[in-house]
Amino acid sequence: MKNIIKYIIPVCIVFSMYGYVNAQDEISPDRKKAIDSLALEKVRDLSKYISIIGDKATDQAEASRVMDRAEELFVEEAEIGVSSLYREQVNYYKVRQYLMRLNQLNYDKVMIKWYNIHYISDLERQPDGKYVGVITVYQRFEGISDDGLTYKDTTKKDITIYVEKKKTQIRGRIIEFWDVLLGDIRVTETTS
Amino acid sequence: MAHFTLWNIFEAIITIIDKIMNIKLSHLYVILFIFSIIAINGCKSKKKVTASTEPPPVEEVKEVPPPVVEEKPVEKEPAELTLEAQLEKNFQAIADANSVDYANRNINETLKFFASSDAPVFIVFYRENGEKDYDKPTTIDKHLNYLKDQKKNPYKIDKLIFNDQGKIEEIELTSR
Repeated sequence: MKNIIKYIIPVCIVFSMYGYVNAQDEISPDRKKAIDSLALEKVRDLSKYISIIGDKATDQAEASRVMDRAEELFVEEAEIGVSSLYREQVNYYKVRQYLMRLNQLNYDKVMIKWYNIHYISDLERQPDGKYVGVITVYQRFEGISDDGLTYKDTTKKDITIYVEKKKTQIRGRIIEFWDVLLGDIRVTETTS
Repeated sequence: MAHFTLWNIFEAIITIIDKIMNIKLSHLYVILFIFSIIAINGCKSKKKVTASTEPPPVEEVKEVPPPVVEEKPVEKEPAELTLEAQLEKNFQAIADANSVDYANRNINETLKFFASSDAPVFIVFYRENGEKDYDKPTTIDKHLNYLKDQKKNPYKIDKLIFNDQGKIEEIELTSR
Protein backbone atom coordinates (compact mmCIF):
# COMPACT_ATOMS: atom_id res chain seq x y z
CA MET A 1 0.00 0.00 0.00
CA LYS A 2 2.77 2.39 1.02
CA ASN A 3 4.64 1.69 -2.22
CA ILE A 4 1.56 2.47 -4.32
CA ILE A 5 1.03 5.79 -2.50
CA LYS A 6 4.73 6.55 -2.90
CA TYR A 7 4.41 6.55 -6.68
CA ILE A 8 0.83 7.75 -7.22
CA ILE A 9 1.25 11.05 -5.34
CA PRO A 10 4.22 12.37 -7.33
CA VAL A 11 2.61 11.26 -10.60
CA CYS A 12 -0.53 13.25 -9.72
CA ILE A 13 1.49 16.33 -8.73
CA VAL A 14 3.62 16.26 -11.88
CA PHE A 15 0.58 15.84 -14.16
CA SER A 16 -1.25 18.69 -12.37
CA MET A 17 1.74 20.99 -12.89
CA TYR A 18 2.04 20.03 -16.55
CA GLY A 19 -1.65 20.74 -17.11
CA TYR A 20 -1.41 24.06 -15.30
CA VAL A 21 1.57 25.18 -17.42
CA ASN A 22 -0.28 24.20 -20.63
CA ALA A 23 -3.42 26.06 -19.55
CA GLN A 24 -1.35 29.20 -19.00
CA ASP A 25 0.06 28.99 -22.55
CA GLU A 26 -3.27 28.82 -24.33
CA ILE A 27 -4.83 31.78 -26.08
CA SER A 28 -8.51 31.96 -26.90
CA PRO A 29 -9.67 30.96 -30.41
CA ASP A 30 -10.89 34.52 -31.08
CA ARG A 31 -7.54 36.04 -30.11
CA LYS A 32 -5.77 33.43 -32.26
CA LYS A 33 -8.02 34.38 -35.19
CA ALA A 34 -7.17 38.06 -34.71
CA ILE A 35 -3.45 37.24 -34.71
CA ASP A 36 -3.88 35.10 -37.84
CA SER A 37 -5.52 38.06 -39.57
CA LEU A 38 -2.80 40.43 -38.41
CA ALA A 39 -0.13 38.18 -39.96
CA LEU A 40 -2.07 37.91 -43.23
CA GLU A 41 -2.31 41.69 -43.29
CA LYS A 42 1.49 41.98 -42.94
CA VAL A 43 1.89 39.77 -46.02
CA ARG A 44 -0.60 41.91 -47.94
CA ASP A 45 1.37 45.00 -46.86
CA LEU A 46 4.57 43.40 -48.19
CA SER A 47 2.79 42.65 -51.45
CA LYS A 48 1.99 46.35 -51.88
CA TYR A 49 5.53 47.40 -50.96
CA ILE A 50 7.00 45.00 -53.53
CA SER A 51 4.68 46.36 -56.16
CA ILE A 52 5.75 49.96 -55.36
CA ILE A 53 9.47 49.10 -55.33
CA GLY A 54 9.22 47.24 -58.64
CA ASP A 55 7.19 49.98 -60.32
CA LYS A 56 9.45 52.01 -62.66
CA ALA A 57 7.29 55.08 -62.01
CA THR A 58 8.28 55.15 -58.35
CA ASP A 59 10.61 57.96 -57.39
CA GLN A 60 13.97 56.70 -56.09
CA ALA A 61 13.66 58.41 -52.69
CA GLU A 62 10.20 56.91 -52.24
CA ALA A 63 11.46 53.49 -53.31
CA SER A 64 14.26 53.67 -50.77
CA ARG A 65 11.85 54.63 -47.98
CA VAL A 66 9.48 51.81 -48.94
CA MET A 67 12.42 49.38 -48.95
CA ASP A 68 13.06 50.37 -45.32
CA ARG A 69 9.42 49.69 -44.44
CA ALA A 70 9.44 46.38 -46.29
CA GLU A 71 12.67 45.30 -44.62
CA GLU A 72 11.17 46.00 -41.19
CA LEU A 73 8.58 43.31 -41.83
CA PHE A 74 11.24 40.57 -41.80
CA VAL A 75 13.35 38.80 -39.22
CA GLU A 76 17.06 39.49 -39.54
CA GLU A 77 18.90 37.39 -42.07
CA ALA A 78 15.70 36.33 -43.85
CA GLU A 79 16.11 35.35 -47.49
CA ILE A 80 13.87 35.64 -50.52
CA GLY A 81 13.96 33.21 -53.43
CA VAL A 82 14.09 34.30 -57.08
CA SER A 83 13.22 31.90 -59.86
CA SER A 84 12.99 32.10 -63.65
CA LEU A 85 11.35 30.09 -66.40
CA TYR A 86 14.79 29.93 -68.04
CA ARG A 87 16.59 28.10 -65.23
CA GLU A 88 15.82 25.35 -62.76
CA GLN A 89 17.78 26.82 -59.88
CA VAL A 90 16.22 29.20 -57.37
CA ASN A 91 18.58 31.91 -56.15
CA TYR A 92 18.23 33.27 -52.63
CA TYR A 93 19.05 36.82 -51.56
CA LYS A 94 18.97 38.74 -48.29
CA VAL A 95 15.85 40.91 -48.10
CA ARG A 96 17.52 44.26 -48.79
CA GLN A 97 19.53 42.78 -51.65
CA TYR A 98 16.35 41.29 -53.13
CA LEU A 99 14.49 44.61 -52.88
CA MET A 100 17.34 46.53 -54.52
CA ARG A 101 17.54 44.03 -57.37
CA LEU A 102 13.80 44.30 -57.80
CA ASN A 103 14.07 48.08 -57.95
CA GLN A 104 16.79 47.91 -60.59
CA LEU A 105 15.27 45.27 -62.88
CA ASN A 106 16.16 45.87 -66.49
CA TYR A 107 12.63 46.42 -67.78
CA ASP A 108 10.82 49.54 -68.87
CA LYS A 109 7.70 48.52 -67.09
CA VAL A 110 7.21 46.06 -64.24
CA MET A 111 3.94 44.82 -62.84
CA ILE A 112 3.83 42.57 -59.78
CA LYS A 113 0.68 41.26 -58.20
CA TRP A 114 0.25 38.88 -55.29
CA TYR A 115 -2.99 36.94 -54.95
CA ASN A 116 -4.56 33.91 -53.27
CA ILE A 117 -2.77 34.69 -50.00
CA HIS A 118 -3.62 32.00 -47.46
CA TYR A 119 -2.27 29.84 -44.65
CA ILE A 120 -0.97 26.40 -45.57
CA SER A 121 0.27 25.77 -42.05
CA ASP A 122 -1.55 27.36 -39.11
CA LEU A 123 0.30 29.34 -36.50
CA GLU A 124 1.39 26.82 -33.87
CA ARG A 125 2.98 27.56 -30.52
CA GLN A 126 6.59 26.39 -30.29
CA PRO A 127 8.40 25.34 -27.08
CA ASP A 128 10.14 28.75 -26.99
CA GLY A 129 6.76 30.52 -26.88
CA LYS A 130 6.82 31.84 -30.44
CA TYR A 131 4.06 31.02 -32.90
CA VAL A 132 5.20 29.79 -36.29
CA GLY A 133 3.12 29.25 -39.42
CA VAL A 134 3.40 29.31 -43.20
CA ILE A 135 1.46 31.50 -45.62
CA THR A 136 1.41 30.76 -49.34
CA VAL A 137 1.08 33.44 -52.00
CA TYR A 138 0.99 33.43 -55.78
CA GLN A 139 2.92 36.15 -57.58
CA ARG A 140 2.20 37.25 -61.12
CA PHE A 141 5.21 39.04 -62.58
CA GLU A 142 5.23 40.92 -65.85
CA GLY A 143 8.23 42.83 -67.18
CA ILE A 144 8.20 44.69 -70.48
CA SER A 145 11.50 45.86 -71.98
CA ASP A 146 11.94 48.91 -74.24
CA ASP A 147 12.11 46.71 -77.35
CA GLY A 148 8.65 45.40 -76.55
CA LEU A 149 9.72 41.98 -75.25
CA THR A 150 7.70 40.72 -72.35
CA TYR A 151 8.66 38.27 -69.63
CA LYS A 152 5.79 36.80 -67.61
CA ASP A 153 5.71 34.16 -64.92
CA THR A 154 3.67 33.02 -61.96
CA THR A 155 5.44 31.80 -58.85
CA LYS A 156 4.10 30.10 -55.78
CA LYS A 157 5.89 31.24 -52.65
CA ASP A 158 5.84 29.98 -49.07
CA ILE A 159 6.45 32.58 -46.38
CA THR A 160 7.34 31.53 -42.84
CA ILE A 161 5.57 33.65 -40.22
CA TYR A 162 6.85 34.25 -36.70
CA VAL A 163 4.60 35.75 -34.04
CA GLU A 164 5.82 36.59 -30.58
CA LYS A 165 4.50 38.60 -27.66
CA LYS A 166 7.04 41.25 -26.73
CA LYS A 167 7.18 44.33 -24.58
CA THR A 168 8.71 47.73 -25.11
CA GLN A 169 8.98 50.92 -23.13
CA ILE A 170 7.58 54.07 -24.72
CA ARG A 171 7.38 57.41 -22.93
CA GLY A 172 8.04 55.76 -19.61
CA ARG A 173 5.49 53.01 -19.78
CA ILE A 174 5.68 49.40 -20.78
CA ILE A 175 3.60 48.28 -23.73
CA GLU A 176 3.04 44.65 -24.58
CA PHE A 177 2.49 43.93 -28.24
CA TRP A 178 2.33 41.09 -30.74
CA ASP A 179 5.33 41.19 -33.03
CA VAL A 180 4.59 39.61 -36.40
CA LEU A 181 7.65 39.03 -38.54
CA LEU A 182 8.17 37.31 -41.86
CA GLY A 183 10.92 34.76 -42.36
CA ASP A 184 12.32 33.22 -45.53
CA ILE A 185 10.27 33.32 -48.72
CA ARG A 186 10.78 30.06 -50.57
CA VAL A 187 9.80 29.61 -54.20
CA THR A 188 7.97 26.30 -54.58
CA GLU A 189 6.67 26.53 -58.14
CA THR A 190 7.31 28.62 -61.26
CA THR A 191 5.01 28.52 -64.28
CA SER A 192 4.41 30.69 -67.34
CA MET B 1 14.13 20.88 -20.88
CA ALA B 2 10.58 21.00 -19.42
CA HIS B 3 10.51 17.21 -19.10
CA PHE B 4 13.89 17.16 -17.38
CA THR B 5 12.61 19.63 -14.77
CA LEU B 6 9.44 17.66 -14.19
CA TRP B 7 11.50 14.50 -13.70
CA ASN B 8 13.60 16.29 -11.09
CA ILE B 9 10.42 17.32 -9.28
CA PHE B 10 9.21 13.73 -9.48
CA GLU B 11 12.45 12.45 -7.94
CA ALA B 12 12.34 15.07 -5.21
CA ILE B 13 8.79 14.09 -4.28
CA ILE B 14 9.80 10.42 -4.15
CA THR B 15 12.60 11.30 -1.73
CA ILE B 16 10.23 13.25 0.51
CA ILE B 17 7.72 10.41 0.49
CA ASP B 18 10.48 7.94 1.41
CA LYS B 19 11.09 10.00 4.53
CA ILE B 20 7.37 10.22 5.24
CA MET B 21 7.12 6.44 5.03
CA ASN B 22 9.29 6.20 8.13
CA ILE B 23 6.62 7.89 10.25
CA LYS B 24 3.53 6.14 11.63
CA LEU B 25 0.75 5.19 9.19
CA SER B 26 -1.82 7.26 11.14
CA HIS B 27 0.35 10.36 10.70
CA LEU B 28 0.61 9.56 7.00
CA TYR B 29 -3.23 9.63 6.71
CA VAL B 30 -3.27 13.11 8.29
CA ILE B 31 -0.67 14.34 5.78
CA LEU B 32 -2.63 12.82 2.87
CA PHE B 33 -5.82 14.49 4.12
CA ILE B 34 -4.12 17.91 4.19
CA PHE B 35 -2.64 17.29 0.76
CA SER B 36 -6.09 16.37 -0.64
CA ILE B 37 -7.57 19.65 0.65
CA ILE B 38 -4.75 21.60 -1.06
CA ALA B 39 -5.21 19.63 -4.29
CA ILE B 40 -8.99 20.27 -4.37
CA ASN B 41 -8.42 24.01 -3.89
CA GLY B 42 -5.83 23.93 -6.68
CA CYS B 43 -8.33 22.33 -9.06
CA LYS B 44 -10.92 25.01 -8.27
CA SER B 45 -8.40 27.77 -9.05
CA LYS B 46 -7.49 26.13 -12.33
CA LYS B 47 -11.17 25.89 -13.33
CA LYS B 48 -11.49 29.63 -12.82
CA VAL B 49 -8.50 30.24 -15.06
CA THR B 50 -9.94 28.08 -17.84
CA ALA B 51 -13.41 29.54 -17.64
CA SER B 52 -12.29 33.13 -17.75
CA THR B 53 -10.07 32.47 -20.83
CA GLU B 54 -7.61 34.96 -19.42
CA PRO B 55 -4.51 35.20 -21.65
CA PRO B 56 -1.27 33.79 -20.28
CA PRO B 57 1.10 36.16 -18.56
CA VAL B 58 4.11 36.85 -20.73
CA GLU B 59 7.30 35.21 -19.56
CA GLU B 60 9.39 37.17 -17.12
CA VAL B 61 6.87 39.98 -17.15
CA LYS B 62 5.38 41.06 -13.90
CA GLU B 63 2.03 42.75 -13.77
CA VAL B 64 2.03 45.22 -16.64
CA PRO B 65 0.57 48.48 -15.40
CA PRO B 66 -2.32 49.84 -17.41
CA PRO B 67 -1.37 52.69 -19.71
CA VAL B 68 -0.71 55.73 -17.55
CA VAL B 69 -1.87 58.97 -19.04
CA GLU B 70 0.62 61.54 -17.88
CA GLU B 71 -1.25 64.49 -19.21
CA LYS B 72 -4.77 65.52 -18.45
CA PRO B 73 -7.24 62.99 -19.92
CA VAL B 74 -8.67 63.98 -23.25
CA GLU B 75 -12.11 65.35 -22.71
CA LYS B 76 -14.43 65.34 -25.66
CA GLU B 77 -14.79 69.07 -25.94
CA PRO B 78 -16.16 70.42 -29.21
CA ALA B 79 -12.77 71.80 -30.32
CA GLU B 80 -11.08 68.44 -29.78
CA LEU B 81 -13.88 66.58 -31.51
CA THR B 82 -13.25 68.83 -34.48
CA LEU B 83 -9.57 68.03 -34.39
CA GLU B 84 -10.33 64.31 -34.24
CA ALA B 85 -12.69 64.65 -37.19
CA GLN B 86 -10.07 66.68 -39.05
CA LEU B 87 -7.47 64.00 -38.42
CA GLU B 88 -9.81 61.25 -39.62
CA LYS B 89 -10.44 63.30 -42.74
CA ASN B 90 -6.72 63.79 -43.35
CA PHE B 91 -5.99 60.08 -42.84
CA GLN B 92 -8.62 59.19 -45.41
CA ALA B 93 -7.35 61.85 -47.84
CA ILE B 94 -3.84 60.39 -47.61
CA ALA B 95 -5.12 56.87 -48.23
CA ASP B 96 -7.24 58.04 -51.17
CA ALA B 97 -4.58 60.34 -52.71
CA ASN B 98 -4.17 59.98 -56.45
CA SER B 99 -0.56 61.09 -56.42
CA VAL B 100 2.41 60.80 -54.11
CA ASP B 101 2.81 64.59 -54.08
CA TYR B 102 -0.76 65.16 -52.95
CA ALA B 103 -0.39 62.48 -50.27
CA ASN B 104 2.88 64.02 -49.09
CA ARG B 105 1.30 67.47 -48.81
CA ASN B 106 -1.45 65.97 -46.67
CA ILE B 107 1.11 64.14 -44.56
CA ASN B 108 2.99 67.39 -43.89
CA GLU B 109 -0.25 69.16 -42.98
CA THR B 110 -1.26 66.36 -40.64
CA LEU B 111 2.13 66.24 -38.93
CA LYS B 112 1.56 69.85 -37.79
CA PHE B 113 -1.02 68.56 -35.31
CA PHE B 114 1.62 66.42 -33.63
CA ALA B 115 4.33 67.31 -31.14
CA SER B 116 6.83 65.39 -33.26
CA SER B 117 6.92 63.18 -36.32
CA ASP B 118 8.06 60.45 -33.93
CA ALA B 119 4.92 60.67 -31.81
CA PRO B 120 4.00 57.08 -30.95
CA VAL B 121 1.04 55.37 -32.60
CA PHE B 122 -0.52 52.40 -30.82
CA ILE B 123 -2.76 50.13 -32.85
CA VAL B 124 -5.26 47.91 -31.07
CA PHE B 125 -6.16 44.95 -33.27
CA TYR B 126 -8.13 42.92 -30.73
CA ARG B 127 -9.84 43.30 -27.36
CA GLU B 128 -10.79 40.58 -24.91
CA ASN B 129 -12.15 40.98 -21.38
CA GLY B 130 -11.07 44.61 -21.36
CA GLU B 131 -7.52 43.72 -22.37
CA LYS B 132 -6.13 45.27 -25.54
CA ASP B 133 -3.88 43.43 -27.98
CA TYR B 134 -1.50 45.81 -29.72
CA ASP B 135 0.33 45.57 -33.01
CA LYS B 136 3.97 46.68 -32.92
CA PRO B 137 4.00 50.39 -31.99
CA THR B 138 4.94 52.75 -34.78
CA THR B 139 5.36 56.51 -35.22
CA ILE B 140 2.95 58.99 -36.75
CA ASP B 141 5.31 59.68 -39.66
CA LYS B 142 5.54 55.98 -40.49
CA HIS B 143 1.81 55.50 -40.02
CA LEU B 144 0.89 58.34 -42.39
CA ASN B 145 3.26 56.95 -45.00
CA TYR B 146 1.68 53.54 -44.41
CA LEU B 147 -1.71 55.01 -45.34
CA LYS B 148 -0.15 56.49 -48.48
CA ASP B 149 1.68 53.30 -49.52
CA GLN B 150 -1.10 50.85 -48.76
CA LYS B 151 -3.88 53.14 -50.00
CA LYS B 152 -6.08 52.03 -47.14
CA ASN B 153 -7.17 53.45 -43.81
CA PRO B 154 -8.20 50.44 -41.74
CA TYR B 155 -8.16 52.14 -38.32
CA LYS B 156 -10.13 54.79 -36.50
CA ILE B 157 -8.92 57.10 -33.76
CA ASP B 158 -9.55 55.78 -30.27
CA LYS B 159 -7.54 58.10 -28.06
CA LEU B 160 -5.45 61.25 -28.35
CA ILE B 161 -3.04 62.54 -25.74
CA PHE B 162 -1.96 66.17 -25.89
CA ASN B 163 1.00 68.06 -24.47
CA ASP B 164 0.81 71.44 -22.78
CA GLN B 165 1.09 73.21 -26.13
CA GLY B 166 -2.01 71.40 -27.41
CA LYS B 167 -0.03 69.19 -29.80
CA ILE B 168 -0.74 65.48 -30.01
CA GLU B 169 1.93 63.48 -28.19
CA GLU B 170 0.40 60.07 -28.60
CA ILE B 171 -2.40 58.47 -30.59
CA GLU B 172 -4.20 55.18 -30.19
CA LEU B 173 -6.00 53.63 -33.15
CA THR B 174 -8.31 50.67 -33.33
CA SER B 175 -9.54 48.43 -36.13
CA ARG B 176 -12.75 49.60 -37.79
